[in-house]
Amino acid sequence: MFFWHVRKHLSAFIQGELSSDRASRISEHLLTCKRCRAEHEEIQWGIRLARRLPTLSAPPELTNAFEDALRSRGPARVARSRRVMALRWPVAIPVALVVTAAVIFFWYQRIRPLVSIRSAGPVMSKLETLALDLHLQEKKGALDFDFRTDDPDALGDWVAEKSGLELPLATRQPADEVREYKLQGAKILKNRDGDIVSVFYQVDRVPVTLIAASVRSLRKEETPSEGLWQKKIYHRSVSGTETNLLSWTRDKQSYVLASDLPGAGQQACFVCHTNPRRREIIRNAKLHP
Amino acid sequence: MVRVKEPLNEAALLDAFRKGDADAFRRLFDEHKDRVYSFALYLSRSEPTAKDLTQQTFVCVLARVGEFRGNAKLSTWLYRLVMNLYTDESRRQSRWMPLTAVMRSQIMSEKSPQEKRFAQMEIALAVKHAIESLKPRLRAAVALKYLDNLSYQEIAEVLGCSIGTVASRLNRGHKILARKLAYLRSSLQEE
Repeated sequence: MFFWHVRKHLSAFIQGELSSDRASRISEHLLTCKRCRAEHEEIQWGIRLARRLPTLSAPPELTNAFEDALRSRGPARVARSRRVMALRWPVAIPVALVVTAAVIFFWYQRIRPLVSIRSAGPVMSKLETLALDLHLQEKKGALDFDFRTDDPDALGDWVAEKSGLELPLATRQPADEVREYKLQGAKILKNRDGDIVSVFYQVDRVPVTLIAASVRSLRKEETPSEGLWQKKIYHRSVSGTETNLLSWTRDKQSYVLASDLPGAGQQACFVCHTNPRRREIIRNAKLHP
Repeated sequence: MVRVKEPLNEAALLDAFRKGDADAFRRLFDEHKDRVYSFALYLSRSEPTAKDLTQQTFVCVLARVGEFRGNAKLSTWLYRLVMNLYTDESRRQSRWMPLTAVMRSQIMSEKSPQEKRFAQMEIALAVKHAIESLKPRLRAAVALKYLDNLSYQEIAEVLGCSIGTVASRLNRGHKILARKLAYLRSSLQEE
């Protein structure tokens, strides 16, 4: 089970960035939770230190360079002429077309599916191969974790500190979730171009492996396309096994989720996603060829 | 008598500049150059790169002043330009010098013989050294927050991420600073 700790929100709480409702809940929690109170005190100290960050004076040569640039480019003069006024109708028609296109676009945004699950290409990428390998090792119990914990907050901090990667793991499941999500731990693989982190879960005792890497550490052809109009997720059912692989890219990080969960394994996505609407979209996402 | 600096009406100054008033833009440059340079320096950890980034940022503004509509703070736009230019620049080169050396030369050049002021400078240097050691994403968030007191929303706009991500990065940054500089607690308590 997950514990509802507020540690992730303490900076926002101290700096007045939370709604009053949320801030009140956090205040109440702090009265009863020694662990979060200790962390609150630590973050307050960190904020006090950070306030000492001074602004430095720009070197004088920058002002000279700026003056040169100002002389060569100067302010842009906007000249109005009668010919501009005469262009009203030829301007109005393209504007009307753009407005119509925008209306159609926003209408489409409302009705289109936000997530599409497509079949992955014929050849497994290196990231998929790695995810499958780690997943199979973990199923055999042959894997040594670098960090063993059941606390997603602590794991997120550890991953960020060791690799610079960000993992938005859910700290608690919605009340109506019937499956048990149990975090086991993580492992970091050192790579010349950038670290790869692997996180291990059990969902109702079924192993789930999530790996993440920065897109900068991958070749372009190895990076799943992010999708412009809808999020693209690539599915592969590994023959000879019950394992499904789901790959996607978001916010400059690529992920592979390996699991033996039924269907396309998309329930594994709930190790991160807790928003009810998003979960509904993921549950109902159809597999396209 | 203390003179109170009048707040700048940035939208009016930009408008004046578009109409031909170069002095209007000089005022904006003077107002923002130190913070833009500081942000560039914290990002790049290299004085030559920071100067290039600052210069390129303002040249960009001169060329694109018509695009700024005043629906956000000018500083947010400037920081976003620095961020984009830095991302391009960091792919091209990786030279840097230890930030503390740069900071020390800048700060020690100010005249301040009092012992207390010296202690404050040493604490500031320790803070900067700790921030220098942060990963780039955390360093950028911390610099934006404490150079210009941007809100989480504004920082998210500059960095092109969600407010939750900003909160998470600042949280981690604060914790790392607190742990690295725990030894300074007694020094700060004396103040």
